[in-house]
Amino acid sequence: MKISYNWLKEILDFPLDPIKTSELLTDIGLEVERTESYENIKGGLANLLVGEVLSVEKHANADRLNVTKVNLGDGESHQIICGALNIKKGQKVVVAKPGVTIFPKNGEAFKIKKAKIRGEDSFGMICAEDEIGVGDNHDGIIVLNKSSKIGDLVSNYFDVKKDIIFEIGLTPNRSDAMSHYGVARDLLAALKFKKLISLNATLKKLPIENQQYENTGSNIEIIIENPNECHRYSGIVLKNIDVQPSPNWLKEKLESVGLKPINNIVDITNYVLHYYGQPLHAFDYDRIKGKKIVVRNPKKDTLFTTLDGVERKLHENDIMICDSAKEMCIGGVFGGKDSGVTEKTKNIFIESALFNPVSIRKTAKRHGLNTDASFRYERGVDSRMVLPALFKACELVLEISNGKIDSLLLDVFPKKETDFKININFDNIRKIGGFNITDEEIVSILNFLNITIEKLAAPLASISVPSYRSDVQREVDITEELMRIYGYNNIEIPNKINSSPSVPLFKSKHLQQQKISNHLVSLGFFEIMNNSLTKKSYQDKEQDSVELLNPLSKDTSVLRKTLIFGALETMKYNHFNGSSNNKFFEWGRTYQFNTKNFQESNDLILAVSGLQNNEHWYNGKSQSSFFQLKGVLESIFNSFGILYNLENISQDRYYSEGLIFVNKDKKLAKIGLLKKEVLSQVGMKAPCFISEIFFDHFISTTENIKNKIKGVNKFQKSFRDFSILIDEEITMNEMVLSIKKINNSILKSVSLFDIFRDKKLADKKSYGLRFEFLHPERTLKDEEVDRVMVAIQDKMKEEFNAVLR
Amino acid sequence: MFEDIKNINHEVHNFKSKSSQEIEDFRISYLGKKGKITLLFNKFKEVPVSDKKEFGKQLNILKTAALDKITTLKSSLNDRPKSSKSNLDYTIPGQPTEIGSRHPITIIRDRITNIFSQIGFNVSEGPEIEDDWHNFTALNFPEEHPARDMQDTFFINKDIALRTHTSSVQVRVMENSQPPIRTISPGRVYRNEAISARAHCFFHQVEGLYIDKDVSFADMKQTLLYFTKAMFGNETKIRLRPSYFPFTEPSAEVDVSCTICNSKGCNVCKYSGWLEIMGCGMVDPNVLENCKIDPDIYSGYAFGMGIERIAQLIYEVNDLRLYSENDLRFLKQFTTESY
Repeated sequence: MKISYNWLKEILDFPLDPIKTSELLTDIGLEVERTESYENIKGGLANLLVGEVLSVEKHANADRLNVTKVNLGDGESHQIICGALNIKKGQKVVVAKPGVTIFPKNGEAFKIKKAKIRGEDSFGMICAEDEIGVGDNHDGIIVLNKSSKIGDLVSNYFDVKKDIIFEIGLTPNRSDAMSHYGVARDLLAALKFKKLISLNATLKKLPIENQQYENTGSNIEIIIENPNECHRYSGIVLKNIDVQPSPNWLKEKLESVGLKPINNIVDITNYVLHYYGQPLHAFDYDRIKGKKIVVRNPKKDTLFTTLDGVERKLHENDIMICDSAKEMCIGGVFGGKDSGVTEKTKNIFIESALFNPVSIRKTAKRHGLNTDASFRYERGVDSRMVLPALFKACELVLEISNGKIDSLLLDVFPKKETDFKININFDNIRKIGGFNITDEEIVSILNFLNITIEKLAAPLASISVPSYRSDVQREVDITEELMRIYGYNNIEIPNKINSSPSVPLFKSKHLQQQKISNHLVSLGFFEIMNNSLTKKSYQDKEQDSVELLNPLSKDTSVLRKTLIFGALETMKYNHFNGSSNNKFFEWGRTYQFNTKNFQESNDLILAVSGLQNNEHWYNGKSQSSFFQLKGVLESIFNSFGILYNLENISQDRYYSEGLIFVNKDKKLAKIGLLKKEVLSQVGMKAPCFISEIFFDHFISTTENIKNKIKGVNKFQKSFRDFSILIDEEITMNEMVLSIKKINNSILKSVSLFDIFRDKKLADKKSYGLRFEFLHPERTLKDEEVDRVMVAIQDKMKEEFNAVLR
Repeated sequence: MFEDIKNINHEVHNFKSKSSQEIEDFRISYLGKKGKITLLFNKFKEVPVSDKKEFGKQLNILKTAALDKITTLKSSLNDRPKSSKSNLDYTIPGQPTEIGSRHPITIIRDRITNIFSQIGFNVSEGPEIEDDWHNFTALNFPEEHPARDMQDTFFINKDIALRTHTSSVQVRVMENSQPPIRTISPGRVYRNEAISARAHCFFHQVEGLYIDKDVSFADMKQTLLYFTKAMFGNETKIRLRPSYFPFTEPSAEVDVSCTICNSKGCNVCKYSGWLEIMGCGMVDPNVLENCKIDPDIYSGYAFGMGIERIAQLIYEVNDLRLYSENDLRFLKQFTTESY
């Protein structure tokens, strides 16, 4: 909302400059988001000088140009090349010297430079109207009045007006401040509290009813069919008006707040709207059939053409202003094409009305319209302003369009608003604010805000809030009002922090997540973040997909069920952009619909492709591998002490092969290679390895892990190695599971220290295994260890047909 | 024999050397198998019982002195350039230990979380797929509030939408516990906005909530000042502006003194010297009632900020799309960040 500084000053004589005004407005909740300067003449004719043409001679090399000498009062003769036909010796002209910026009516501002035109130097420019933005004329240069003083600023001879315009970001609760009058009213309260203005200062008086009625028989009957939708409808008929362009002062006022002048009648209604916040609408009186105004809902799908020429289908709940025959205007939103004021209009009916904010909002929304009127009606318009605004409009019509009032004041007011009565306790206000506002300060702020104190027995008071403050209906709202005027920034900050810690309701996982993230970062992984909204084509079964009703685009129409596609897209993107060695991880939620409920899970994905590290003398080019990623995954499990069994992936939506890490039937993680069709869905061509940790399950297994620290077992460990020859199909996992079944209490771990394959071994492979033994209470004897080793060898032979090498 | 110790001690003390060979010779002649000191140790059993204690003590002191002498001499030798050095190029890079980085949004999120944890806030989370009650109604959004329109919110069905703010977690925490409540809720939120440099359909917020007896607006100002100083530096100032949110009354918007130009005026602060960073206010009594907390007994404050906004001010990243583009050339720049 644009608010003009000069306009505010017309309503309230206050002593702040624009900067201080903007600060104070922001402080009281009318945030000035931006200030702009307005000039009725762009650039304000700055630095343009009055010059006298001393001589005019034809340019030797150009027929259409003249070489002139100009006196600028500085004792020098300035040579300027000029192409205007009307230039003559002795004229007083407008001169832009080199270095001066001029602002043409059309086009960009530019800086005048010293130039050489067809061999002759030119030190500046003699200007035409359009070149300096004072008019549209380009037929010749401006010839100033003979009496203009040489060397004087040209701006002294034109009506240059400047203003500062505040762009106020109005919050939706402040319907009281949707006009210059409303802003000035709030400003006055703050100025009074800050003692920056006399306590007797008042706003410019509201217009009162004009008594010059001359009713020659024009009349209008007003019928409101639904008082819930139209709370008040007033109007006046004016006759014999001249529809013409507005006077300059009015045009400039409207332009300053960003409105385009149209004609005097439309401009008046817009002016009053921005002045008092009351939307007005002018109808061509002669086109009102039956001399009846009916406020009613239309029949469904009635066609109606609005002012912009668009034919719209009406909704049965739209509020329409109609005559006895048909719809004339979408009430409070937009006028109709066939009922408005045109150049030919002679008689008008001006409407000043109040509508139900919710109905207006719905109507405007349905038609995709957002007008100055609907903006205000949606938020609530002050019923007290309906008549003053109408009177102001009448005053102006009489003043600038030669019209005459030709009806009584018509005012149907079925739904009167009442002021809000509230009981407040000053102590509560002080407590919520945490500030030491005195009883006297409270009372004076309430007074400044036009809030009536009906009964006062401090700290208790009964008060009455004017109806235009529809956002102030409770004690806590009064608290905000008081704090707002007192100044949020004047509330002192206490010395001690007020903190009563509470036990966490949900056990947060963020510390565990941090631990894993830091671990991954030190392994060279980069954390990524993808949109949780993704392509529908990435989903398999649709019944468990979570789909949006109103997606932004096809590519973001469902919630992801897996982090895999995001990781693949990231790798593809970076491959494409020159980084082919990638190690990524992402924390993210995945979403599913499970028969009745929406389910959100926290997942972690790891993805590697390309080289493990950039090529390096130490380890050359080692390609990303399954076992590289598995090592990382194992280290994450180990860092939480989570035990797991391994299962082969079979029949998976995304993986062609790989492993599942399982703990007590819960799948904690998957790792493997992705199916070709999954890769090709994204268009990822380079080989990559993926691991997902289903973090909710993962972390829930740690709840039962109690890390008991036991001191140090200082007895000597024993180690035994052997290499066995086994079939290729036998897995390490199978062997370890089988070894675990051997009854003993001293085998602590089995590790794989060597793998050997050779043509001579045919379909067999050789695993070098190392066994670690330890007794909790004493040093082990060789015989004890050997006994277990024999059992292991027997078991291996028996179950896997393993041969010792 | 004590005399021997004394003499040897003297020799040790006076020994000077220029080469490692000499030092080695010295070591052998005193501490080697047949060295003078070693020999004295061997004579230990010959010492009368009454002197054993004193002899042992002095002998140990002597041995230590000799060892120290060797060490000192050796180290002084090492200081000098070696005449015969190895041909190893020590300047080639060490074994590769590449480091990655966290994502800027999680870096900033964790910083915010840590700062509030230090003053007793715990961390809570809530669902992103949220019902109308938690996202709007309980938060005192009027039935006709524009935020409920299709235009701003992604709907899944009539009553279920993607949360538009983390304020919904406030409601969940209040419904499930009684004061004191002191929690922050970081999380992802969604708005139905076309993706551009300045807007995205998903972003992240941190919500804060403190409910107890006697919690005031001044307390809120203090906590937020603490936060901004911890986040942006001790010199940071804050400014509060009255504002409007359905779920707080009084409501305010918080500006911090521009971190980029030190309030001198720049592009980012639009020459105002101030940067808007969050919304806050005293929890509206209607919200407390909706969550079954008695507003006559308890009061509290809530605040909410956008993580991307804070990140923008810390890193001066002005294009929101960079955050979800996951370009390594962008991410690598965060390797040196601490969190």
